[in-house]
Amino acid sequence: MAEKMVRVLIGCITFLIVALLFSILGVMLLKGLPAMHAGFLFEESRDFGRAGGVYYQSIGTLILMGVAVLWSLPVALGSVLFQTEYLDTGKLKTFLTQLTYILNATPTILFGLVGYLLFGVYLDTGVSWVTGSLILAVMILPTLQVSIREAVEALPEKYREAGMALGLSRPTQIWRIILPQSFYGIVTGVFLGLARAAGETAAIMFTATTFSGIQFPQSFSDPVPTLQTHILVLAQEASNPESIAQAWGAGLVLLGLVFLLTLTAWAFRARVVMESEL
Amino acid sequence: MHASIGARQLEPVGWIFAALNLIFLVSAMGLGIFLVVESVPILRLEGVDFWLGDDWWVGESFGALPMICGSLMVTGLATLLVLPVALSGALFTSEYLSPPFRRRVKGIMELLAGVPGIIYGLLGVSFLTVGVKDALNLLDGNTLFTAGLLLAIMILPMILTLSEDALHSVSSEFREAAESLGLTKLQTALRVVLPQSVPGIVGAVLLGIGRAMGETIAVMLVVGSLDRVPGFNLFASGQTIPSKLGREAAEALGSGLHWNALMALGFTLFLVVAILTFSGHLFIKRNSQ
Amino acid sequence: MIQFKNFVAAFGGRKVIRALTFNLPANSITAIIGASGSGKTTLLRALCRMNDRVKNFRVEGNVLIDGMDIYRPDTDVYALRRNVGLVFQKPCVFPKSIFDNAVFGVKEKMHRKEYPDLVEKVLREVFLWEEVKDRLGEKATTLSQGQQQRLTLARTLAVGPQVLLMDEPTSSLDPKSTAAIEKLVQSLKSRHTILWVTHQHDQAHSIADKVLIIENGQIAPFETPVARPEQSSSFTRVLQNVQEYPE
Repeated sequence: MAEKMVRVLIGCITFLIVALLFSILGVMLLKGLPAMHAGFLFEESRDFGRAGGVYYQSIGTLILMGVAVLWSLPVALGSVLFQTEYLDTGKLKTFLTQLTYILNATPTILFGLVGYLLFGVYLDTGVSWVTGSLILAVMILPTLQVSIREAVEALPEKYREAGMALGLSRPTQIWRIILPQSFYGIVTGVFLGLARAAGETAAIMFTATTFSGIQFPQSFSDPVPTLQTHILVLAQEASNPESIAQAWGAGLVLLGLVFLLTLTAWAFRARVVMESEL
Repeated sequence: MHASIGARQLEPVGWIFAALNLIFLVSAMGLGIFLVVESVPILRLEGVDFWLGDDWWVGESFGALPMICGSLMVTGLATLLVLPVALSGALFTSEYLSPPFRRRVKGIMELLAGVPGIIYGLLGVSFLTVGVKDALNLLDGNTLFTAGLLLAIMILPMILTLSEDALHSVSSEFREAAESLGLTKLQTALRVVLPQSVPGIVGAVLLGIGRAMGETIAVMLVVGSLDRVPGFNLFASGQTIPSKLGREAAEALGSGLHWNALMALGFTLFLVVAILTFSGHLFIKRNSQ
Repeated sequence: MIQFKNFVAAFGGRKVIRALTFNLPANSITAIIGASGSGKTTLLRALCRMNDRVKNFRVEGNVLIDGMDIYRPDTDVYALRRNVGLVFQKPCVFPKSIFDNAVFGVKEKMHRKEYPDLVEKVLREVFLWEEVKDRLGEKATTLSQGQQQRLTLARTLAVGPQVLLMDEPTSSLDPKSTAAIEKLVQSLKSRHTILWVTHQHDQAHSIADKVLIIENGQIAPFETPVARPEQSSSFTRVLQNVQEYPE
């Protein structure tokens, strides 16, 4: 009897937790859809964000996350291949893995602080989309590394051995066996990284973005508006119903983008599993 | 004996990978080093008083105690609130759900964990602060309690899914052995599975606390941003380390000690989160052995 | 000509091969018989330095191929492995086409236009050409185990090795494929030095010019096949195979 009650109780709790996702989705749709008039995605915002659309904000978010992955991917790929293919098991490898974990858990605001100082001041890139994408690149590095490492390590040892026995040099082995076989893992990492970069606010709010006045960046030193910071500014004008309505609209777009990227990542991850079972 | 075995010759491609790995190493270590170097001036000036001082007046003194207390109270509350819920969810998912449903729950947790902080912030500002204000009859809904509640929701998926991993990794032989002795499913779960996964669950909670400690945007929007030592009153406005950084960093850059003080706050946060993460992974690794 | 001089291979303190000294003549088939754990796989892997990446693995003494010590520090291990081909116990084809598998080891070494001729040549050498010539573009994983093993052998031959190391290449195959591989290896003798590891006495005696026994990491010579009074017929061999590997 007591057994059954506990079971029902924790079952209900689990159900409520699962329902949380759907209630968040529901609220976002309920609140966001009214703001989504035709052209919300393709109009610029007007009247300090109280009217219009989120065209340039969306572009800004896409630029930042896309460029961040461009910076991050070669470093993630190179560092993982160095660790798995060139480094013998040992203390250095463990240390680098721990470093990945710590970088992954580092509060994102700290990337903003240090990046602001390093890129914005010492390297003089100022508050710009370049600064922001560099900061995001470091922030999503662990995400990419973890996915790529999983894929490379899931590769059955027999392929490596067969390649070795044929006398393939290590670069050839990487190019012909390891990269093709871990392709889906790399793509998974890229999409998870994009999703993480798209959802990030704290790291870029004072390093890469501006609220209004800027449209498409004209040079390397221009800031961009983004969905994330747009919502942040509007959310703080909670007393103004027009601002809040626009914030919900932008929130729905952002959440949709993040979920879309995550689901795409999953589609590729499913193929990683299939490949490794060959 | 040939010494060359095991030693690697690096071809040009290998050097490129080594260089890329160095970029990773420098970025990760550089972050910590930068925080230390930039905090030196204020720590040299104030010493331990930086952490013990309760006044933060730009131009006069920088005391981090209000932010430290705020962070501890908010994450403490979030952990207490989330633990029973996350553990129930993990236990049910691992022990009672069929594999396809288990995978669905895990997927939903991953999606939930990916919801951007700013979305949680928006939801918090619109519903949670108002709800807390009305329910508790407060003048202002922006309180430490509100922030703790929001953080509990935010770290729930992470703690649930990592604890579930720990429970699920217990070999099914133990379950079968226990059930063959006549233990019920619940008894098996509580007396056989749960004790074996304690290290993994501890690790999950440590990582969750680390995540909560560092959350900036959502907390910043609902905590009230008031620098004072909150005593034990959860239902008042306060400030956490990240929310302080988020509020003041942009105006403080290049302003000498003010900036250094913020970097010292950041360094404090970094140190705590790094230790939590390191030990969290240590526990999780111990569980999987 | 392969020479072992006081050759020791060890994992940390555990010596798997103890002070081995013997010669393998060129263009001949030598069979090594040993139970599992006797060190026979380690011996083969040491010959193409496949254990270089294994932690704690170390060697003492010398192994010479045509008078060159393969463990000399300036040895090009990749060139060595191309010269010493290894065929694994279980066929491991890459999840690519039959054609791509056949040229997998030499793609960088020759022009694209030369591929088809090489593929035909090596597939003919392993008696696989007639079976697969019309479906070279299909995935190699669609082949039977026996065909896959012949394909891996073709893949190894394409690289042009002088020495062929066979690590129980027929142990996961059915009797018919086994017989095919045995016949095939006989035909390769004139151009390659072959070392065949097995745990089946009769197989060793029927294919090899010289049979050695490996036990506890040490090698003992065995009587030559001729000295063995009755040679088991291929029929009893088939029976034994069937008994050992009910499939």
